[in-house]
Amino acid sequence: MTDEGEKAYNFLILCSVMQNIALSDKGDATEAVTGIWHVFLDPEKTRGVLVTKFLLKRILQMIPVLLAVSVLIFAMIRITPTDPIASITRGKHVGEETKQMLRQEFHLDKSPVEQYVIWITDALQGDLGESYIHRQSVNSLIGERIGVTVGLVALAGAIALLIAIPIGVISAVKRNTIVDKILSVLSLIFVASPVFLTAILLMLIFSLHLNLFPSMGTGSLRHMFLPALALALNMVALTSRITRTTMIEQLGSDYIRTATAKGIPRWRVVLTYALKNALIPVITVTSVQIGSMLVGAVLVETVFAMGGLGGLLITAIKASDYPLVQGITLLLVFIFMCINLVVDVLYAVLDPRIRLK
Amino acid sequence: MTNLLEIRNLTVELMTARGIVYAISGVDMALRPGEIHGVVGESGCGKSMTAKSILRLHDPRRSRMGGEILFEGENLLAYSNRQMEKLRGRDISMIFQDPMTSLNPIMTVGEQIGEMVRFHTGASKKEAREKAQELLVKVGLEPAAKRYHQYPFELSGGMQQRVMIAMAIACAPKLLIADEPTTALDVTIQAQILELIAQLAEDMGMSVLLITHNFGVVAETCQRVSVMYAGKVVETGETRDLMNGARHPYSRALIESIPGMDSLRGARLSTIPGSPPALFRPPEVCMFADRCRFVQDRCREGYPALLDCGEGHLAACFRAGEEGIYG
Repeated sequence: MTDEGEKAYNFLILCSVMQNIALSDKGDATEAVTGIWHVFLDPEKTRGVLVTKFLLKRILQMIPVLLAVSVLIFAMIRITPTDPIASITRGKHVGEETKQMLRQEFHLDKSPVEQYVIWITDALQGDLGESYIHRQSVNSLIGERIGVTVGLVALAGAIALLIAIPIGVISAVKRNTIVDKILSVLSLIFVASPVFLTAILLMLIFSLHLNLFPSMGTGSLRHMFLPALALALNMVALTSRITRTTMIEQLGSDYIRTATAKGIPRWRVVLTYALKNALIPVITVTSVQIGSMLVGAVLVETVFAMGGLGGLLITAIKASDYPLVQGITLLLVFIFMCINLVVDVLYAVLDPRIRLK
Repeated sequence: MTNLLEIRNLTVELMTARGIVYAISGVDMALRPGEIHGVVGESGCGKSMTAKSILRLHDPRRSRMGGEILFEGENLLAYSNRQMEKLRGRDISMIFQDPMTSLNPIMTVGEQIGEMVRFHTGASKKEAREKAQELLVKVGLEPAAKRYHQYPFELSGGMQQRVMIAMAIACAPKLLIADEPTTALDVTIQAQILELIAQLAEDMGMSVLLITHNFGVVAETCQRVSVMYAGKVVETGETRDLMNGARHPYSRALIESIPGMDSLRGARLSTIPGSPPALFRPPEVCMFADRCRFVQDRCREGYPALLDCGEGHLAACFRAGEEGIYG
């Protein structure tokens, strides 16, 4: 079979699977197709079906949500009282005839409903339109910058967890001691400092004085580190507090007492028993915070002069660049939904009660 | 015969927000090898506290222990934390009141049993797995291969308690502490679990310290019994002797309040008026005096020493030696 034939074939199978799941709760048809999945997710084969069903259901649920969001985005940007023609012409004065031509070119002469249909039809085919100010396709504009933003947020999330979880665990184990108190004060300082201030301070210390990291630009992990740290520190406080609280709760529970009575060493009781059980609320908080990090990234990208999505979005909003705003916002929503999906999968992986019920 | 476990003058003080609670004040107890020893009393009398003290499960930052707990002649209160970790589960293991919350919810029961074997015997994963399945069969959880992969929430309370028992006997301990093992279970399951514990104790030559508030349970399972009240042992002896002729008014009242055939016929169930005292600063007098039918002035002036009533039967009551006071 040719490559394309194979692709089409796979696509057809996927469609039929999705259809089956959408139509019935039994999901019998899925069992045949899910052979590969359960090996990864559960050693017991009968349970893999549940996991796969759960996943596909969640992915299908994303479609109506995305559509609803697209309507909202589309409507909201049009509420702002500006004329997109001004940004298309870059503020230059042009004649009424030219304006009319431009309106036609960008479908601005049509009714909002027609405009939406045109936009969403193209978007569903992967074309987000052409930017008014850049006169370039939104796809390529996003493509150039998405790596920076996603990389920044991902690195920041990883750094935040690497700092916050140990802080939370240590505070819980040493609760109400001097160590716990010092760590809470530190967290408070982090949460109280605005991202742009942290960013500037970090740049001052590590780039200008110590000369350890570059102060601007993109391209390598070293470029990414300081901005990601600035973004992460803000998140550390909440995540470490949540970790502390849930760890204290778990450490006081009956199964921890059982583990101790079994003679399981203390470190193992703390790390594999209590921490694993405490992770679910931590993950929930982290996922919400990653959403707000997408916003914080705008500020950090500006301070460190990184060409990311944030800067692009800000200029697009200012200029009423409809296609660009819509494209970026829809993408951010999509990323956020993907994070939520990953979180749901993580829940299921971590907690058999969610996975098997 | 030497005792397997000897508790001497054990005291436990708990630091609480409202002040120091003298939860255990001078408990003595002795357990012979292979014996099932009951500890009875109302809630808050210190029986679970005593049980937890043996494995040192209290938070060391919020409690203080005194006296001696001798296990095979060695004082556990003098052990280092490392030594305790090694001893727990291997020589002395424990099961708890509420099996639903006592198992780790996100580990399969097989892993939880096998882990115990691996930590104490250094067995390989495969050996631990085989041993765990063997243990599941031993406690009556079959088919073991299926049960091994199940999570606690997939099992009933009785089955979960069986898992706890399988875990507890995994390393063939010399002593099993069962802290109200049947209180949270259905009555029909209670008998099965008690029978299982008694059977295993006999097969393995294991001693059991059975904590319960139910004298009926003691009568069925235990060879000897200690009755606790307000952080002290008030009476101890052979179960038979105590059931037939308790010398302490508290033990007597507990035995009278076992629901029997009389209550089925509509007779009023006998109860003990009042409730146990709070133990913030207990005075050195008989703590049961206020609830006692046979109280005399001397009961409020000093604490009665344990009086030997013969054959290891001891009772802490000034009037324990009087003949015929119970009519």
